[in-house]
Amino acid sequence: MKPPVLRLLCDSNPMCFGSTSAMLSVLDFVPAESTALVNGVTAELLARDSVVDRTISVNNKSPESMQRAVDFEDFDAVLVVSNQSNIALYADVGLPIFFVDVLYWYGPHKQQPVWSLAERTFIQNFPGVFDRLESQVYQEPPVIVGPLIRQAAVSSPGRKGTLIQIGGARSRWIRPGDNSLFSEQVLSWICHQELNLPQPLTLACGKDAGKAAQHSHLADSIHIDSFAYDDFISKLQQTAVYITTPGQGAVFEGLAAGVDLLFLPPQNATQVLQLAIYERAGLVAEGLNLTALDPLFDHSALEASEEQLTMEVLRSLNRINTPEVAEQVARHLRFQYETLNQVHAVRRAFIEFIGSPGGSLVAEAIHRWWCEQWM
Amino acid sequence: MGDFQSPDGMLAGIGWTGKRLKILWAHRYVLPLERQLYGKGFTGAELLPDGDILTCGFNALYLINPIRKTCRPWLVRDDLNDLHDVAVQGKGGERRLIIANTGLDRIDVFRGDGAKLLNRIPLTPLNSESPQIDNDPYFDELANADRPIYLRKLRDQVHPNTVLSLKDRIWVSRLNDRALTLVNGEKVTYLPGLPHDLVPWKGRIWMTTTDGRIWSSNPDLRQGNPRCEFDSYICTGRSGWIRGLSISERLLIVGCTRISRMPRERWTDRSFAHTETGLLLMNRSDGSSLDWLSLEELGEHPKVFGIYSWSRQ
Repeated sequence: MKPPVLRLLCDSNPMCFGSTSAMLSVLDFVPAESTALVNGVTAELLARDSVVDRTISVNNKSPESMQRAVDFEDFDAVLVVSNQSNIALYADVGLPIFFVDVLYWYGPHKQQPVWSLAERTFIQNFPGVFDRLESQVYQEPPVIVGPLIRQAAVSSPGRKGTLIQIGGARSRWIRPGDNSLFSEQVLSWICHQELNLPQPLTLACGKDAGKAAQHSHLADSIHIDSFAYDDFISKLQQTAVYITTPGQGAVFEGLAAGVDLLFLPPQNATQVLQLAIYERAGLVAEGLNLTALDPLFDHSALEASEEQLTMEVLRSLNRINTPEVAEQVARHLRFQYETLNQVHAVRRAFIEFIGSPGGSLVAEAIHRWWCEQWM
Repeated sequence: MGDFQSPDGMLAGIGWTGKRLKILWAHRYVLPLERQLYGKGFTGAELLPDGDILTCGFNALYLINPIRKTCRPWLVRDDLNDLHDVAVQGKGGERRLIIANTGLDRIDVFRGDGAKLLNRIPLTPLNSESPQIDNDPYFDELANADRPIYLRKLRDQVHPNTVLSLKDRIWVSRLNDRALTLVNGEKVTYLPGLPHDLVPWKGRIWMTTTDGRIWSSNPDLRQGNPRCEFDSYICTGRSGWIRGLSISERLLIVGCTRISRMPRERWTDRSFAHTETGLLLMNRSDGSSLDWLSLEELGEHPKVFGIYSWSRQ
């Protein structure tokens, strides 16, 4: 029997852009009518992407709000990326769950209900993932997939300028311009006299972070934009130098594009830990993490919850908002730029270790499952 | 067109003076390095209303403007493999793109702007007696699993060659099944040869088999009974691997490609020693030969894939 079009509900974690861009990399390959839950910063990507058919504006960290806003009868399955807030709700209403964890290496344990409730589970590869998976017991083991990113279709000649990206820069704990001055800080590092980057400079970030950056006296020397995902990938492909916070997707995208990539200091909890991993892997020299830039950084926070570590990151960024640290970061960036050839082989090995993009594998599993329902 | 000895795509403009066929122009397009595959240029195409041509490469669709000679990647995805044909279904906002994703034995349906995948229709062999190709050496080259899917030669079992949208239905020519069917496998027309092109003409679907015969079938019948309209070899004495068919009230034109080794599916029982690359023009009313145009000069071993009636807008 020919299956009807799959009606897929899409629920990505509204913490910056990471989970949402991973979601889009899967939706590229799923033949489905896709309805995405949007919440603040995620709308900036989801509401203007061609693979998303509809959006529902709702706080998808709150099952109560979800119950009010979503008619679950309208959907055949749900694709969830790293948001565990509604798993019990989906199970209660009998909606088959496909779950992707982009941060499997992170967190105290991986035995939450989703690992047994979901129809299929997937893990984005990263150092530490394999060992952790080996130590866990699941009814049906998750599948490790390569980076959940989009790539430019074809390379474009004539790269120029510098693209600086800090992602959505907003989460339930981080509010740009309110409790975070990160985007303004980034300008003070990038526009420092120590650095002589290819011009023009472009800062890619969420809209709120962009507004906050506009308050900087350096805002006139840089173009600030909030790109749709495809436009960002296209821009990345045309840029000579790419400077990014130590996220996951943003780093994978830069490595896959083969662009000259420099790291910025971290802006949130996971980025602090990821940067430490990137340093250990030899992708970037030590000296950029908050533990190095801020002598007062509370190391015990590294073992604490994500919220507690995020709060310490915000306090720390505030402490290092000084001309001295700006110069220190700028010198580190210059050092990275001048020694790129020394990390080239390590970075290449790293992206090979992570594997080829995994969105199509997740999509295939969803599509196969849907066809099986109609055999 | 493609060229067995090059990764480039080719497009040639051919004129008919009323007495002679002649090459008006020919462009060779260097495809993006990371998308190139040696011996694989352009395959099937769709002529768009504005005169542009949407053509398949091995792993991408390209948009060609024949007047400006431009060619740009139009739909590039990592889940495309050995594309053989593209068809447009519907108009305006309802427009759909139908793509023969041949290496993956699949018909993919996209929204008209290519931005969203709407459906994937897997094709399975019509019967278990369809030839198995597991031992074909063609697939040993570039089969390494480390290569990305879009640069690999995959062992397809059905090998959809051409897709045709007709009255909101999608027809597929299936090489290994030696059959024409609707995309869902219904309305089977078996052919005594390897089917390639599908062209609607006066209420029937006209088809080529690669041995040089041209057939027609009534699409309204539950099971087709193909009628052999012409055997181009008998009519003209010219032969080659037949790909490309265009029909007008008076004319019928087919493309021939020289064969340098017996393909994985036997072509005919004739020797391939005298096969040639070019276009064969016949009188549609009686099958008599009107002209032959060699295309050998366009490359080392050019490969004709599709023929489309185009005029400068």
